[in-house]
Amino acid sequence: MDPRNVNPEISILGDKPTRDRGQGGRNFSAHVEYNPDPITRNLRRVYDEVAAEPIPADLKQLLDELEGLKERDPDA
Amino acid sequence: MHDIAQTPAAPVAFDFKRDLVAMLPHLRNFARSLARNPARADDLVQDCIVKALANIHRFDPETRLRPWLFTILRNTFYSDIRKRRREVEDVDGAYAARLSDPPRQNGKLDFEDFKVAFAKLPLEQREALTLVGASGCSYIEAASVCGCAVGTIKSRVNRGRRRLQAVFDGNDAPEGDDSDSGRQSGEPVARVW
Repeated sequence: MDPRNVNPEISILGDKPTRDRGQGGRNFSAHVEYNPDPITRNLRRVYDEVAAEPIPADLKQLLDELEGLKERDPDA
Repeated sequence: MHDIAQTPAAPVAFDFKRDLVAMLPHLRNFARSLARNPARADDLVQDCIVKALANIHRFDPETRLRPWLFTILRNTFYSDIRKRRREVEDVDGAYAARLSDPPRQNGKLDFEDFKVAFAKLPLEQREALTLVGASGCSYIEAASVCGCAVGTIKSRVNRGRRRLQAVFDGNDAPEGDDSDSGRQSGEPVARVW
């Protein structure tokens, strides 16, 4: 408490800032979006390479079949 | 090739395909970090999709699709390992031995060298690094995917990074027990991501 404040009910420093605890850290992501270190950059680059590759024919066919299954299911 | 029509039909309450397509690069990257072979990794992804569809009724849309799919893919990989251990696990280090040592260029490691060094990491460190470092999973998510404690994931990430950093710095991999049990209780784990 500020010793200059004679009335503890009224804060002369204004409202005490409250910390937004959000989800209590449950959604904390370990990702650091700014200035990643070289290892992180390279890990992401590996991912980017994979993401840039075309989807193999087998997988594409599987996804097409999935679409067909969904169309046959009226509840989908 | 799997016949998706053989999987039990279940009402899909959310746009599974859209979400799946969005997840595909992450699944393929994670599968590759496990299997270290693109063709095998794509087979794993395929198996994962088929299993996910067969068990879609177990998926709670309130939870996140990403850790659920990662878990299925990882379980598929480990089941496969148990079936064909010699072929996949590289217990004798044969795969690692085939990889050439990365050349050191003024202490810098280029991307191809990084990939070689990464492939030499133990499986548990590769999966932890990929989940946390490349796929943006939280430590909690990664721990749930790998079925271990959050501290274990942090430890694996930390050890994997130390090994890669040692190669970056032109040093040999740090000595010491690389297993989870090798970490002393209470040993601080540096926050790296």
